[in-house]
Amino acid sequence: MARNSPIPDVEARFNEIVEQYGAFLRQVIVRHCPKDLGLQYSDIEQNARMRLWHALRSEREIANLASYLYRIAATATLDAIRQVKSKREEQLALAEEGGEDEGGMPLPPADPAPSPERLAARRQLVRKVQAALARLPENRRSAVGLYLEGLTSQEIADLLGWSEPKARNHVYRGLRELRGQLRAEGVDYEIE
Amino acid sequence: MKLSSEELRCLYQQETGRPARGRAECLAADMLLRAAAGESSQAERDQVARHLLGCADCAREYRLVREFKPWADRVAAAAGGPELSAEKELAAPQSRWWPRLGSMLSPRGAPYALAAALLIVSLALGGWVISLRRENNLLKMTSDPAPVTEETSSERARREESDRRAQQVAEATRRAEQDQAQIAELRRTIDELSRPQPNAPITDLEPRDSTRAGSGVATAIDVEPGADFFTLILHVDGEPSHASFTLEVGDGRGRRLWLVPGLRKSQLNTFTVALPRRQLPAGQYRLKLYGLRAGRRERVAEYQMRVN
Repeated sequence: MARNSPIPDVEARFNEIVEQYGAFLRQVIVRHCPKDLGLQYSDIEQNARMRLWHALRSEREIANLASYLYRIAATATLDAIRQVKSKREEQLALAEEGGEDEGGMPLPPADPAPSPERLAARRQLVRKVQAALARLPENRRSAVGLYLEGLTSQEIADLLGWSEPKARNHVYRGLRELRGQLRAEGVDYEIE
Repeated sequence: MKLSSEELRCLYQQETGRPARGRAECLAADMLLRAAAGESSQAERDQVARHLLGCADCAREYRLVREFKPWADRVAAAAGGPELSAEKELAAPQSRWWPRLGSMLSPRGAPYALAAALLIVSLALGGWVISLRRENNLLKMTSDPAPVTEETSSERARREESDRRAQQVAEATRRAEQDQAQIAELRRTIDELSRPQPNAPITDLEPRDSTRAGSGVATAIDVEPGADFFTLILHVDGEPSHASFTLEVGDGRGRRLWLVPGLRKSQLNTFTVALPRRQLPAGQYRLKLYGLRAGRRERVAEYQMRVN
């Protein structure tokens, strides 16, 4: 890679950045990358470095180095996650279709697949939740929907441009309203 | 039906994941990054929020990308400090102060220059006196044998920062040790699996409904302790002519454990498969051999075995 560089300055700049921030880059990838997907940190790091190299080589102006490094570290990690998940989904789909000759993904013995009845009950419950959500006022619907997807009130606030107390308030009130609606349909849950 | 809030969240996320919905309409990584970094317009943020409402995977990715942000801020602090100060040193004096100083030194500006010089000297003297006093106080404090009972706010902040760093280092060390232990465990497993295995059992399995074996009787397979694999030779009735074959391994309750694709029929009209012992604890298992013909799966044979 370095030998083919038409511009020695690019190589020097690349080495300088890697020397200065390489350890930082690896640390952030290792720390934040999901541990349950079997991802190779070194591959992600290498991918991020390649992106940096290409950016420098194409003489693209990197106005804000920190922002750019953030971008490449995050996109390299996201791409790796999506790739792994996509492969898993394909294999699962094949297995569900009948396990024809492609794929061959072993299904771990410790993970009992839910029975069709259980699956159907689960889907029905989620449909009820979605229907109840749809009946909430817009702000509460957004807050509760994002909360159910795992976002914290701070994350909800930042995404929707609200203050954190406002987000928390909408989540709390929305969940109470949702509980009332679900109770009427025979589904009860506790608000923590 | 009674659920906790956390159970409800888990359930909701399971049902709104990508496999359930398909991934075609998912958000581009760039859009997630902009939203997580707070660089999106209101319209784009609304679009991201609408999507996250029904996509657990993108919501998880959004949260992940947000976790990268503090790191980027630290990089910015590390990168911005020296570069900015260098720029100040280079740019500021030449562009602003040199011309002014030049004009002050001209005969017309001499009184101003003198006044400025006196002001600077008096300020410097004042500063020197203050620093001497501080030094004096400091010497008094350090020579005082009485115990220090109150920390200054800066000392407290420094100590907290130091504690925080020590915690971070301890945490990083703990994680590294865990990773090392995991790697060592995996290496041990690989070594074990790479060793030649003596006396590996090879067992013939007849189809369940075959006339050669009693129907419904499971074939017993005795695997020695320490064995990693055992091999099965699967016999079939007739001569199946399918394009390819797949073996399904299930437990005694009919739950599918493994799918083994790509089986080939031998010249003796049999199939062989080596199964890992550690994945199949003692118990009863059911195996189904399928053949693929014109895109359709057809059951060729079924077997029962008991691993002892």
